[in-house]
Amino acid sequence: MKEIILLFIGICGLFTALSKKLIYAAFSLFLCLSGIAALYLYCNAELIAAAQIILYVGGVLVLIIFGIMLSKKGSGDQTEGLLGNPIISILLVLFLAFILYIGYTPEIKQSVTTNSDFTKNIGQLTVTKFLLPFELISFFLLAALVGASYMSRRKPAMPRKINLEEKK
Amino acid sequence: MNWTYILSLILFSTGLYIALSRRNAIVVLMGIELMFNAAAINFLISETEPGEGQTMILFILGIAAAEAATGMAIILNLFERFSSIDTSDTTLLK
Repeated sequence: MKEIILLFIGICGLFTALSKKLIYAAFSLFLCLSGIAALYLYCNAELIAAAQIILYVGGVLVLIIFGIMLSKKGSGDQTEGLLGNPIISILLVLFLAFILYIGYTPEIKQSVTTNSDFTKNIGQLTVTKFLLPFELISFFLLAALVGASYMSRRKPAMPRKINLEEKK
Repeated sequence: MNWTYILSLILFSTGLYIALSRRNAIVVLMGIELMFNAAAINFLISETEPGEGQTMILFILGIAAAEAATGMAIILNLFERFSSIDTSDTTLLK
């Protein structure tokens, strides 16, 4: 069961890289993120799975699809030359993954993820050990959202420059 | 061999490939999202105390939300100024 989920996520991720049309890439990213939420559910991480669906699938993906509506038809969503070849790009991705694999292998404890009642642990950790990052991330999110809404507001029409020579 | 770890490697390399090779700014943003998710999966499978890695995933989700909002605001401004979101069109600093 777990292997099927993993295969699904991997295929959707690769299809995001290979699809020529922008909207197909967005929808395969949507499927990939939903698959990752399923993987979290499989590892008994219910809270994270819910947050993943709410934040990524509900928030980020809608934002990306709004952004796609901005772009002109066929505006640079294709990669030219050698990098656009699907076989070469898959080989490149696998080579990159191999480099990462030989560079770093963490100690993976499989037994931890089969425990239950993670939500209680997360609640306790956010107010004890990770209190400072928790507060920092709330402030960071507030600052980022205020900055984003400031940057993307409709600008008032620029006041016309007073031509001094014209007045004379 | 842990296949979840292999998957997170492949997802990270796919995201890096997308972010480096594509010229559309929105697709670059999507590649960065993929890299965030690969890091989150890695946190999930390599946590030492129960719940610690998942708390980190919560922080990653917060950072990803902030990144998406800021990135879309930047892309909106880019579109207003250059009337395209092709990253090879923005050559003001060249």
